[in-house]
Amino acid sequence: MSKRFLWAALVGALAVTAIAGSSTAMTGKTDGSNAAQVLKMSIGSEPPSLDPGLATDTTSSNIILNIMDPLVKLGKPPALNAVPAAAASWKIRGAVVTLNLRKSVRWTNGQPVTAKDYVYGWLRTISPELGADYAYQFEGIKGAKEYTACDPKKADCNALRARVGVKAVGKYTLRVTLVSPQPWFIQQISHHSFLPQHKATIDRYGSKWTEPQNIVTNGPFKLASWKHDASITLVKNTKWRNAKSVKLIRVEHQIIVDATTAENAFSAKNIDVQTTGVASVNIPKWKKTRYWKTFKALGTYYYGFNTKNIPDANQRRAMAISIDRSQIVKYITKSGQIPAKGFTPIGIAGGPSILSQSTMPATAQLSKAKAALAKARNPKRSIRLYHNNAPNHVKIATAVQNFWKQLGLDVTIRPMEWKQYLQFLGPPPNADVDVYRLGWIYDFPDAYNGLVLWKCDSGNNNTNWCNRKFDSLIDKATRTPNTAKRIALYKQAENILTGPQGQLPIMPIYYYAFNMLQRENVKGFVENPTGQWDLAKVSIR
Amino acid sequence: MALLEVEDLRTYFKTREGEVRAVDGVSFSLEHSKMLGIVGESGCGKSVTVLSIMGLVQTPGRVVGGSAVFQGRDLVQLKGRELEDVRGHEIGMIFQDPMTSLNPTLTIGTQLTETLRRHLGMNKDQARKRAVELLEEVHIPNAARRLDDYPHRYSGGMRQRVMIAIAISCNPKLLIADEPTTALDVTVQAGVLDLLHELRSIHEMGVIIITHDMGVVAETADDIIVMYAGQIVEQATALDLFDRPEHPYTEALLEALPQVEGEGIREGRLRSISGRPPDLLDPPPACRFAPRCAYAGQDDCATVPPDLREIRPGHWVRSSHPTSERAAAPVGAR
Amino acid sequence: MLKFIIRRVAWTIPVILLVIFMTFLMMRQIKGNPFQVTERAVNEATQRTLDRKFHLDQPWYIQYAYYVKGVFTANLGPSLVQRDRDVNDVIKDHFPVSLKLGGLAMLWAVLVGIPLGIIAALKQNTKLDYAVMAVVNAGYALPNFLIATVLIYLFAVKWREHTPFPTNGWGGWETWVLPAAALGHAPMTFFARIVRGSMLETLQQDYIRTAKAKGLRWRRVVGLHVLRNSLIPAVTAAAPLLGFLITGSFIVEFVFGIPGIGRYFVNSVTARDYSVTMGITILLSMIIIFANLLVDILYGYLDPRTRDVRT
Repeated sequence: MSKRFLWAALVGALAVTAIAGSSTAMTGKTDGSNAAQVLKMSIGSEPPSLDPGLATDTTSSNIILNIMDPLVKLGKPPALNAVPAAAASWKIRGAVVTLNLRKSVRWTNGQPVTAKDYVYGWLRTISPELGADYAYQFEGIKGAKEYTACDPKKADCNALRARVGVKAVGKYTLRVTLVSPQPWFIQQISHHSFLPQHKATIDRYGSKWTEPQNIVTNGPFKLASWKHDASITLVKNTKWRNAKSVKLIRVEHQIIVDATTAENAFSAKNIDVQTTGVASVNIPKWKKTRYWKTFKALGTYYYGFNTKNIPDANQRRAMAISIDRSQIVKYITKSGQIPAKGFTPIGIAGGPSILSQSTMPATAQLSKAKAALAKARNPKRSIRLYHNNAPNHVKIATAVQNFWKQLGLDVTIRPMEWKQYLQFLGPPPNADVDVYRLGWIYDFPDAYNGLVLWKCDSGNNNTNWCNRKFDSLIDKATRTPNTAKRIALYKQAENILTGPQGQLPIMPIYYYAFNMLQRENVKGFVENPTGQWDLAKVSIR
Repeated sequence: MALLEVEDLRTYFKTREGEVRAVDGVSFSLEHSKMLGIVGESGCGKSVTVLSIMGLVQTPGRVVGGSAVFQGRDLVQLKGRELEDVRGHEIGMIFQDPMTSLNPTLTIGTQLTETLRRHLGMNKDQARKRAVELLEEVHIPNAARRLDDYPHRYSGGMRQRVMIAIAISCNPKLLIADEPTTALDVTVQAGVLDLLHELRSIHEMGVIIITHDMGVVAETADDIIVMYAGQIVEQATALDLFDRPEHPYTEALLEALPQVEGEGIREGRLRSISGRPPDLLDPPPACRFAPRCAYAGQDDCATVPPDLREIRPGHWVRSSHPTSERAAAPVGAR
Repeated sequence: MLKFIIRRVAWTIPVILLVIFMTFLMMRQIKGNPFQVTERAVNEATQRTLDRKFHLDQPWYIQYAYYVKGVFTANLGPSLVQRDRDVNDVIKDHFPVSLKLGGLAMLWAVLVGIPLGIIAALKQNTKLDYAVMAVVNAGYALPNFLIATVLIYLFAVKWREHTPFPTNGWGGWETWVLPAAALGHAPMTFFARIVRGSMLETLQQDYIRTAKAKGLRWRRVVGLHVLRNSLIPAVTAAAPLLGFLITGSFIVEFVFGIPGIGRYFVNSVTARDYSVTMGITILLSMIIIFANLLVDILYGYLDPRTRDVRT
């Protein structure tokens, strides 16, 4: 009887196993014969979508941009100028941009990629039916905003659609009409939102068109397999227009969410590049190895003030200059971050010039801060500091609490769960918020993309701060194609935020950096300041 | 040759507080087809005595000395597997509580046939057939049908009958019944006892019946042993013991027996023996009954342990004040 | 028995309705916008479009009706966050993985835990017993992520030349061993303790004395009389435990990078992916209900006393 029972248990469990089916997902173990030009790497999350219209995150973006051929690519930092890619050339006349597409670009099914594919894709992305988060990227295009906002029950959306300023004026000529000159537009279209989309495939497979067996792409790699939450494998597209420059024949992405797990996989030589990230405690250890790589990022970690609660700019200045940014990046974040001088990242085109008068110090200026606080009328001495709950945010908030204590401020730290936090911040923020933490990663490499946050009507301005002069400078920048002039405008705007007489609705803390681990045999793996890597330029030694 | 010859059996329990001498030098013998009653209060060692014979004493208990020769073999010296061959085969045993003595998760049939198959090498069908006969023999109605029932479908009395059926299934030479009726309803006790006697005469078994109730053994046992605190205090034929009890403890036990008067309704409560059985971790140094004994006075009861002596042929007693040697009334008032 | 099963299955329907209702209510109580992933604000037009698309602009009872309809037509709707995927896809892709992981962990727990418990009980108060129980108790106190981390470090990193185990992933048998051991460890120690305890209790039972008095071989006494009764508590605990293993493997899935449903479940809550949370909750509650049903059936098989009460 006992035997029978145990056997029953055994058979039952095996049956469960059998029912569960045998998947043959890619696993971490290498077979030792590290076939040349195969890159194995980790990514930190499952890409939420490989649909260029729906993807909003860098993980998805990095897959999409390597299986697709964007109109332009970004050149070397800091300028990050647009470099022809699928578009051979372009002409800009005022607010009208005309792009000449390369005739050699083909979909993986052999069809040529034409201007119509772009028109279709862009209009699909901004359509009210799709509800794409990144429709906002197209707001600079004439009529786009109106079309996105269309309620099919109340208005004739087709008419609005026809009015959007994206037209195929020839098989290989795309004309875009912008609401204003927007000189960064050419750089902006390097973003994955501006990729063409294959209509027949999308019509046929609906939301399943991005599955590997369905997807039609036009880039240097093809999507060979996508095991959700486990792995993504790309193989070289030998028919790509520039295929002979591509060295890698296969790229195996393992989706590893946990930093320690990814570190182990790297240590065990199961992956060559680890982009998941490194656990905070292990950073010093990895930094000592030749595997550790740091890349500058266009992004700023900052604290915002609720200017209704802390109305006096003197108090905000006192708080902003009393913290020691160099200690924060040295002892807390530890991985290549740079103390922020102002809000605009120093690494952006024109950054040093824009920030030349910004006043955020790297080390604490306590006596100056005390003097500033003394000038403040009715300073608020009991401060509620909100942040979303993550280990580094907690550590930074605690450090800031101590810095502010020296000013005689009593700081209460209030951590919150991310989504609730975002809702809590508004805009307008909950009245309980005095100071909050957020960060900003740039979508396109122009200071505009960050400064525009602080306009009065910005959906990201959680400070209750509104400055008409600032707004007009930003608006003027959209009409200023001349780079030097535009940078001068940005400098004025930045000064209103962080200059000597700056209003300081926010206090920038540091500029982000990207980190990864790379084995020494990997060549050419670079993450650019907007978080992109170009696998077509990577090879294995 | 006697069926069972127990000689100076000693079973001690090693506990954290010390050594408990649960059975401390017990000797007796049982002839073929005879019935022996072992009587005493709970904790006196009567159950441990028979468990020792069966090799069923649980740790921390251990048989530390003596012998129990059954049909020429000393059971105490037998190895585990040899003893297993004797148990249930040549010696059957039934226990006090039929409600817990049967495995609740196995059918009566399984529990009955496994002994037959184990000892008599029967196959499934033979064993089943024999099991039905056995159930009939212990007067279970609809025996064939009830074979596949689980114990919880049986009443207490019926379960004890099943236990008896299991115990006699291999025609043992000796049946040990450890308080077979104690846990049963008064109304069914007599039935079970009658059954035991009936089977005893049919199968010609020697029987050891253990009880705290003199009444149970009064009419049927050939010999009676009275145990107190791990020792035999009196041993005689049933007739002699009931007629002329010698040990003060035996007297007390007999007085505790319900006296049937008139219609059988008794007045008042049973007289119980005053005091409590001794702590076997630290027994009285000499006579173990002395602290409760009405006759233990200024004499040597507290210093010299009394021997088990034959006060008249076939009647043994362990006391300095047996009835037949007592002249006067009790020294102390009760 | 059949009647009993049918009645129990029928009872699951109101229970599931209640589960949907409560999950629905609770999800709405926690604030947060499913469509805002980063700090970048969702523009108003897009927000309106999305609310309309996913019926979030409707009153709660209409939304609830959509869910209920979806559940009973086995169409759990699209994910709000992973826009290319339906909840059905998520379950189809990831549930089998968790099922397999949970099943293997259970197998490990049963095949290792029960024998350990039996050995410890039979050798009670010997060095072997103490050794087994020391390991079991120490193991019980260790959280499974720690065990997972140690297993990975030892077998997949430090001794990787000598073992076939990878640090992470889910594929062939060699990827199953470490996660199943890590996940199965706590239930293994649980089984060992519960079996040891109930064995010791059973060994004291009168019917075991009876079995011995019947002269049965020790093997049969233990194998049938003792084990059958000692396993009742283990079996009673096993089915809900299996439910727990299938549904609660989040941490192990995370540490080993296994694409199971547990990770999705937790992520869906943090992402406010209402439809995914709802779909998985319903699935998991059905598993738990099913597991409990299984216990009742098994219990009736193992303990005949309960059978009469029920039929």
